[in-house]
Parts: sequence; structure tokens; C-alpha cells
Amino acid sequence: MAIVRQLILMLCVTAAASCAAAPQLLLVDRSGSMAPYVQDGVLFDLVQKVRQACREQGPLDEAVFATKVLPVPAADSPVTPQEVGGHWTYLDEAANHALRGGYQLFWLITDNVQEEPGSPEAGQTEKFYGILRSRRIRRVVIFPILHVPGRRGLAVYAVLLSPGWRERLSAQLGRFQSLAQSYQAEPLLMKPLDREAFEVEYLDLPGQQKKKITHQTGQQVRQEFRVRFRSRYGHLCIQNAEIRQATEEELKTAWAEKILDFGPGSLLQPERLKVTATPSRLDAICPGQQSASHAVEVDFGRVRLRPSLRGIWLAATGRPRENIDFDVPLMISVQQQAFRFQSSFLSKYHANSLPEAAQTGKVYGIQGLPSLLAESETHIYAGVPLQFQVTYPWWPAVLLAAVFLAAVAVLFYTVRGIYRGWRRPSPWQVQAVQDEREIPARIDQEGTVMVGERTVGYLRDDRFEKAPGIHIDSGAAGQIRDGKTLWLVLPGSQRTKVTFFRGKLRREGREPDSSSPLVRR
Amino acid sequence: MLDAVRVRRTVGSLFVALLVVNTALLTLAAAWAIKKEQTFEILPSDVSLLLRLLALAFGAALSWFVGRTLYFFLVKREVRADTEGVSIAYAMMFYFLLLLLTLIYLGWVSWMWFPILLIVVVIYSVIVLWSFVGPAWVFGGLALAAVAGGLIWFYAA
Repeated sequence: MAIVRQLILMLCVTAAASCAAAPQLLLVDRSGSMAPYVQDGVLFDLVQKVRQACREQGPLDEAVFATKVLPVPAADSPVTPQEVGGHWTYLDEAANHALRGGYQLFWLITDNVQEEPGSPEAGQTEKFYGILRSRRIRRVVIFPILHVPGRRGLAVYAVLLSPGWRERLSAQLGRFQSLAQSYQAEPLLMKPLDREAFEVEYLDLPGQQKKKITHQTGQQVRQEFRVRFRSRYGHLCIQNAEIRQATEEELKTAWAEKILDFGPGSLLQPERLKVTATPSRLDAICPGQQSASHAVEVDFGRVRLRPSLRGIWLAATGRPRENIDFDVPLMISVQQQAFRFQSSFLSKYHANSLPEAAQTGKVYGIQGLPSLLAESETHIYAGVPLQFQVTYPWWPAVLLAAVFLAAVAVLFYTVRGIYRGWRRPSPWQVQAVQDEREIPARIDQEGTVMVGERTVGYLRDDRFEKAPGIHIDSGAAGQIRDGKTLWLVLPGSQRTKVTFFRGKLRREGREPDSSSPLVRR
Repeated sequence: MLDAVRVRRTVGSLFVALLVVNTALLTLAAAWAIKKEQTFEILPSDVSLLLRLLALAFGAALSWFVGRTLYFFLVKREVRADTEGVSIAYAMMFYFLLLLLTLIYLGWVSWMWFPILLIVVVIYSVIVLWSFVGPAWVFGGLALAAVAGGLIWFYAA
């Protein structure tokens, strides 16, 4: 059911997106307070600059707004206050128009960064920032625009809705900044505040030493190192923060799942992951500054081979060790009140009141942006890359070697057995002839040679020994060969010719020489 | 008599060659471990353990075959038979096995154990071969091995 709902939602979003005439939207505040900027040409100049930056990346829709939004062919065309709903500025209406239109990103120009407490539009502005804080908004960059003294400064918002347009938005931001240099426009990244906010500098990471650290599987793997954090925020300072280990849920929802493990390509898996930073408190840090050093300890527990046939095979036949590239998942949690703009930035752009803003050309209320746009608590991921080696266990190789040698042994003995079976001669047989008449004779399993019912001798290891009372008249006992003939004298019986043979008896040339004196007729 | 001299010369040459080669390799390994703090591996370190084990099994079989051949060589020439012939064959087989372990290096034993094993094998072979090949061969082999080891220790590593 959830899948069907998601599909329907995706279809609606796709349909809405396809209905939009252009992927980008420019919203221009044309409320009563903006009239002076129309007159002095600043607003239209900014509109043209935004238009120029956006149109390089694709088609652009334009709209003007006050308390309601009016799509127009050009935002710098003449508009009466009645057409846009009066003197007040409802920023939330403008943002909702962009969201409903299925745009990939929108730009917004206004003088209302923050309202004076108690003004009729203050609630709408609060809602607007609520929209910007929502999950649908991916990125918010604000350009404070300084005005000449006598009129307060403006703000240009660039808001990304679709992650696929991130690169294009970055290009637009760079282009607009270069175009709006005369306004000293600086981009303030206000959302997300939880990505790429810190750079990690290692002080004594073991992996950076000359020799790479190698652990054995089955052993406790624990790494300790010291780091410093460098802030990558443009203008924001953090008063204080808490460093902790990222929870499994946070990692699964926000970051790559490989952080929980050594990655899908690894044959190894850690028993646990426990990260501690000491001290866990991050002191005040401003853009470009470094924090104090923190000792980080990562405990993986026992690192083991994944229980799979593939793992066993590769551990035995492949490289005997694995390089682990692991991002130690550290989280830096910052309370909303802990974000502050840098004092140098505030002195340049911020005005504490509307009269001060009008007098100085600065922007009123810009100081409050961090608390308006930041979550109640921002969790910043600071992955600390860690490298080490783990040697695979010996037993897969021993197991496979044993299997291989056993297979070779089985094959050898099988082939030898077949060969010997093939080469094994037929069992000995015997033929007895008395007076040119064949009489029954046999050799039993014990090798006893029987002629009729009488035992005449024994056959052991291809040797014939006569039984007691039997006389060999011609030939000799001992080693026999195929076709060997003996003349035996059995008590109370005629001379008997006994011939030993294998398989079939060959008759030619087997008769003893009749001229021999030993042969009696 | 002449045949017996030839047999002694053959066994003595084999002893000296194996002793010198083993000493050279193990000195090199010990020098790497102590001076460079690196593991000396003749086979590339990426060669799988299975391949090393199979090479060991094959080499062990080959060593046994060489020892057996030597034993029959001694028996056939009626130089030494029975217990003494077996001891000589074993001594040579141990040298071959040690050489094999050095070449394939399984990584289970620290390099520092190999010289100790070599010393044990040298003592055993000296006792066994002393009366058979004579002191000249024994001292000559030990002197050559010492020179080779010393040179490698000071220059090669």
C-alpha cells in the first residue's frame, strides 16, 4: 500500500513538474515597500541580473507578489499594487506558489528579511522560514544587498527544490555574485548547515605514519588519534557544540550505509562501532578557525570474516589482507541558539532596526537568519577518514589447501585403483586330464587345488606347493606361469596332467614333450 | 674407496651449498627486520595464502623426495646405511625445508625464529656429518656461511 501511495505521489510530482512551463522561477516582491527600489532602478537591475544568471541554465518563469502571486511575462514590467494584493508582503504565499508549480529552484527578491514584531505580515514571514526549514527545501542561499544610505538593504534568496539542480544552482550563484559585485553581494549558505561544515585535521593519526597499521582478524581493533576541526562555514560561528558518535538511524537516513560497516565490497565486518571524542565539547569556532585538539577513539571490537562462501574463497585465494578505508562517523550537534554570524559580517550588513537600516542601507534583521533557518538542533556529520589493514584469517587457506590435497589424494587413489583393476590378471584356473580325458578340477578361494574331490596342492602367491601324498612326476613345484603343466601321480590313480592358466586355456604348445624320459605312456 | 670419496664430496658440497644459501637468506631477512623494520618477502606480499600453502606442501614433498634419494644414494653406494644414512638424509631435508619456509614465508612465525631454527639445524647437521664428511668440510662450510652472512649484514641491507 505504501508503495502504491509513493508511486501515486511520484506520478503527481512528475505531472506537476511537467505542467510547469519552466524549471526555474523568479519571484519579485512588488509590495508597497518596494516602490522606491522600482523608482531608483535597483530592483529591476537585480531582476535583470538574476534573469541573466538563471537563463544560462534554462528557461525561467517570472512572477510578482505582495499578498498574492501574479505570474507575469517579465517581473520588471509595470504592476499596480491592486494586482498583487496590496501593500503587505506575504513571503509564504510566494514560496508556496513555487512549491505548487513543481519548480526545480526559485529565486526571490525582497526587502523583508524579517518583520518588525507585531506587524501584520510577521506571521507570514515566520511561515516562510518554516517552509524553508522543511525537508522539501534542499538548499537556501541568501545574498544581502547593501543599498546606498537612505534606503534599507534588500535580500535575494536562491532556493533549491530538486537535488538534481544543485550543480546548476551553484553555477547561477557564482554568476549572480559576479554580476552583483556593485552591491557587495556575498552568498550566505543557510541550508543545509549539516553538510561539509567541518574539515578535519589530523594531529597524530596512526595511518599517516610511515608504516600502515595492520591488524589480524579476530583481534580487538582499536584506533586512537587526535584531530582538530576547521570550520568551513562562510560567515557563521558556532558558540559551542557537542561531539558524539552518529546513531545508526542518523547514518541510515542521512548518509551512506557503508559508514556502519566496512562497505559492501569488504570481506570483513566489525563486531561493533564505538566512537568517543575527548573532550566531547567543541568550543567556539568561527569561519576558518581551528578548534582545540580532540582525542578520538574508535573501537571496532573483533573484526571477523563475513560468513559466506565467497568470503572464504576470496580470503584464501586472493590478497591475504584488506585495506580498510573507513569514515569514522562523528556528529557535531549544535543548538539553534549556538549559531551566530561573524561580527565582521554583522557590522557590514546588519541593522538592528528599520530606521537604522534605512539610514545606513543595511539589511534589517539579518542577524536572526541563523535562528530562523536552523533546526532546533543541527547535527553536523564530520566523517574522519581512517585507513588501516586487516589480515585475513589463516583457516580458509588451510581449509581449501586440505580440500585440494584431499581431492588430489582421492583422485590419485581412484586412478591407481582403476589402473590396478585394469591390470589385475584373471584368477588362476586349472585343467586336469587323465588318460586324454578331462576330469573336474578347480582352485578354491583359499588356493587349494582340487582334482576331482582330491586335494593335490596349494596355490599361494603364484607358487604351487604339492599336497602331502602327491608325487610330481614331471615338472616342478614353485613359481607357475600361464600354461604351466605338471604331471602328478595321485595315490590309486593314473598320472594326471595338470595345467594352470588364466582366462582361457591356450592349447598350442602346452603339451609336455612326449619324448621326455619323464613322460610315461 | 674412490666411490666413497666421491660420495663424501657430494654430500659435503650439498651441505655447504645449503648452509650458505640458508644463512644468506636468513641474514638478509633478519637485517631487513632489524635495520629496516620491514618484512623480507621473496614472493610478492599479495600472493595468496592458499598458493603459499600449496607451494609448501609441494616443496615439503620435494624435500622428502630429495632426502629419500640421498638415503638410497648412500645405501646403494654402501657408504652409510641404516641410522646414520637416515640422519644425513634428514639433515639435508631440514635444510631444504628451512629454505622453502624462507622462500614462501607464511607470515605465522616472526623472522627472528628462522635464524634460531637454522642454528638448530646447523648443530644437528654438524653432529651428523662430522664423522662422515670430515672436519674440513664442516669448518669450511661454517666459515663460508659466516662470511656470506657477515657481508650481507653489512652491505646488502
